[in-house]
Amino acid sequence: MTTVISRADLVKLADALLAQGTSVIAPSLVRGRVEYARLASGSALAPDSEYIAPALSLKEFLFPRTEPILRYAYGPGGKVTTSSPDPAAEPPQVVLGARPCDAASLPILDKIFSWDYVDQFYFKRRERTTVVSIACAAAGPNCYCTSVGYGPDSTSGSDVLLRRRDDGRYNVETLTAKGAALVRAHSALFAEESSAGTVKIAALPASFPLGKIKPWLDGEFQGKLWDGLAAKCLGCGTCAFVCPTCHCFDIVDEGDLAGGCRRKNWDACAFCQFTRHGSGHNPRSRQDERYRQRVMHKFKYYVEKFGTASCVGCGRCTVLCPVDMNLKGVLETIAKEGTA
Amino acid sequence: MADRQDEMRKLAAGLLERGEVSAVIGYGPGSRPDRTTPLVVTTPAQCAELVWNEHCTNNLAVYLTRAEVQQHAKVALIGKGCDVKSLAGLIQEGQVERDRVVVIGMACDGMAGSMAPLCRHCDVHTPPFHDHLVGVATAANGDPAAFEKEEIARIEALTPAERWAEWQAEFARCIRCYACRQACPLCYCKTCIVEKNQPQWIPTSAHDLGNFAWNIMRALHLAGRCVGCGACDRACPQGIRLSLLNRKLAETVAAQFNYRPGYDAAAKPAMRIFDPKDSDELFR
Repeated sequence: MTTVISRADLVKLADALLAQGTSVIAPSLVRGRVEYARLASGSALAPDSEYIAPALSLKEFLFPRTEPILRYAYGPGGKVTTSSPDPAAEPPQVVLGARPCDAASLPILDKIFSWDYVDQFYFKRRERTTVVSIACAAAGPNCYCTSVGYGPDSTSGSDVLLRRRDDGRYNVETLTAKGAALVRAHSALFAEESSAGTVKIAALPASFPLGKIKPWLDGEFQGKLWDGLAAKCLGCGTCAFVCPTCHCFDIVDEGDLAGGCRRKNWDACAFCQFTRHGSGHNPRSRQDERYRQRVMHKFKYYVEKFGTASCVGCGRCTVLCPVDMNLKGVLETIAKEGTA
Repeated sequence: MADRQDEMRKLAAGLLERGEVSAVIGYGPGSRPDRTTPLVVTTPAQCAELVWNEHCTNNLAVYLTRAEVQQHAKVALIGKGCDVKSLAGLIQEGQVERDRVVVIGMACDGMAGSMAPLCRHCDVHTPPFHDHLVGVATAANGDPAAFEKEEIARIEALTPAERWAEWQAEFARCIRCYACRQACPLCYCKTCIVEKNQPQWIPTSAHDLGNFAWNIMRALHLAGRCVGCGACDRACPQGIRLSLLNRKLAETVAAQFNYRPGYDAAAKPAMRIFDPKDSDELFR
């Protein structure tokens, strides 16, 4: 027996969740392109056959672009009161229609945000988020999830995975207790089918062997490859900001005479001042050093620290890069230059 | 386009062979058929990788102020009319010396994709200056002032509250990646105003205040300097309509000072020169 849900019932599920006060995050048409957005109604859920992947990643719903982490106010007699926003007070979230690459980014982010300090802001939201993914029936020209250990119907990071059948309905695979609870709570919208039907999953052969990347990187810090590559990198933060797994942040204080706010803001290693010390020294003063760092961090340092590369192969960095910096192409080149 | 590509490659290879330049900044094939990518070549053989087609949208003049490029005594630039206009600005402002750049001007009938609407109003299908010219433009010159004219008029007809809501929705999308700044040839400051924190003139946070301050301040810093190449608009991963701001300010400067940047590298930039004959209207 296969659990199934129709598109119409998926829309009803979104509306039911919204009615309960749950925030529903789903691919939605916004100004002519599909983005993950908080739905105002289920009808805004974009049909998954109409896009490859939403423009940006899911991370902003767990790790916002700017986030107040501490507020302070000056009171009478010089007394200072402080408060910290509590993500547990925010509504629960359901992502309805994540792509498997985006779902897979969550276990990767979990590692950095629980490494030396458990980031309460991230994890309190994470606990209150259920992820329902939709497998990919088609791959885009910049996709390479299968080269980094994932795939168009990868289950990593998902609580429920939907796969579209040829009759337009979705086969429902429940993966976690959270996923089971969601399905149970809305069981009227799901049906049981005797046959699993025909499911189309994108065919995406791997572009390069991941196993060749780190060994090459281990020896090529001073390699010639980096000069040519980075000549055209503009040094903006687009790749880091659209990436599902990039997680660097800056802490800033914004205050006035009455008080202020400490914020956690997205940051990017491509920015020229990213590693500038208070002394004025900058260990990565050139763009080629900064681009090298991006690749090293994702495919060497993160692997050494956490046992996994910090990349899900979504290709967004290339799709949205103003100068078409092609990370898949870089990795293909590295794999070819690597030792056997 | 194909014959222009061959001529461009031959020219570039010749310049490198004769040692007239040590690098050529052009376009190479992109990660997909509908994209190209900037490509710096330093040998005649590498010129075979240069491409010229309707996807050559990047403004390559942005690389002329990079330290890695300035280490070359002389470079060649594959320049569309719009890119050459921004080079005029760089020369006017003392950032690039004219005799250190060989301009391989490309006659351009317009690019495809998101750049096409801008190209329909282009009046520099033939670059305004060049050392070599490849091809003959067949597209008729348009009026750059007509680009986005209707949209600007629509916004100007809104009430202040409606205008505020419109721009608030626009800037709420800004993720502060600074792709706009990095893609712009005239944003060449080694330390941008937003990178100064004593004091922090512009909040770095991607909230309403920070985003308004950033986008408006950048537009103001470009007033009278922006040549309307559209690189910022195309670079923005969030589709923010930066061209509206830049166009509005360009028209204001044109009306007040009778000046449009980019056509003449020897012209005196309006926002840098005081002329007693300037209109006083702005101060009323």
